[in-house]
Amino acid sequence: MNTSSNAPAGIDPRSPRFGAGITAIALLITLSLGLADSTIPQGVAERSADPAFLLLTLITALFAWGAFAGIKRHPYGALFKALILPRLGPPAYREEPEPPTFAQLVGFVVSAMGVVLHLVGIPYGLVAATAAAFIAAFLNSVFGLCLGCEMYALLVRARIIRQS
Amino acid sequence: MEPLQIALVVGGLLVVSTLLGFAWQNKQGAVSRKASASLPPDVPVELIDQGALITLLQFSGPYCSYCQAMRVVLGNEAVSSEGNVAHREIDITDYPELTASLKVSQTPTTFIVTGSGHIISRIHGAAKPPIVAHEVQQALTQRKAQADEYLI
Repeated sequence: MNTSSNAPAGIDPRSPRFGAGITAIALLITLSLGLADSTIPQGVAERSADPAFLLLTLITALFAWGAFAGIKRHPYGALFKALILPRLGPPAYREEPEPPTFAQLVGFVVSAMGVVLHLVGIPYGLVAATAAAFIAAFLNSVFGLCLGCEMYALLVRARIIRQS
Repeated sequence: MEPLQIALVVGGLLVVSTLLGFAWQNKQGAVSRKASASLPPDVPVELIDQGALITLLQFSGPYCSYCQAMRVVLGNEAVSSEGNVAHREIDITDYPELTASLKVSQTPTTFIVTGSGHIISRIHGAAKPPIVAHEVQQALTQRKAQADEYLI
């Protein structure tokens, strides 16, 4: 196990939960904007200028950052370290970086689906994807539940995911 | 949509998410004890420590938020037990067939088993240290009582 001279393995689980909180609020704003103007404009150029679309695109890009660069390099993690961590004691336990990185990937897939559906012009596509992503981010932030991780175990049991 | 309708949708979503969260939280660390359950025959014998009274068999996965925390909790039980308790951890992707035969659909899942492959209890998800300690004590008491019966 760890020796005292080494930093403890794993990351502070409160960091991704803090990030998920910011994401959940941003998704809720996106959802409200999407619901306020749920008419789909005719042209792709007009559709891509929708405020809800722009915000969801930004959220999708941030998910991509966490999913492909790893949760340790996510900007919200830096924000947590600078603003929140100095006010907290050490965490009760640590977490491996893989689960929250996987959660970012699931978030990326869901929000990217909303972006694509809106660009194609599917009514309520953006709203539905945003609502789904919100549920996951909210559960992660408030309850510490990693929905993607729960799904992963179910997929292994269903034999949809084969030996890695 | 009108602002009131938007508020209703957003509020509804918050209520649904909160209920989902509480439902999950209630199940975390739940313990089930089934009388006379044995390990299925496809469980490799090396997963059970024959020298210990009980083995804490932890199912983990590559994407599991609380497996590391549970590893520490279960590991501490093993260390403080003077050899009566062993801790083994396996990855569900290495033993996918066991997820079916043992009905594991969540990581971490922990089985408290005897050296002869009898399942004493099952801990769903991550459990707080006092719950684990209580279960381990119960299991040890049960095992020692059985051992005394054999002596008589």
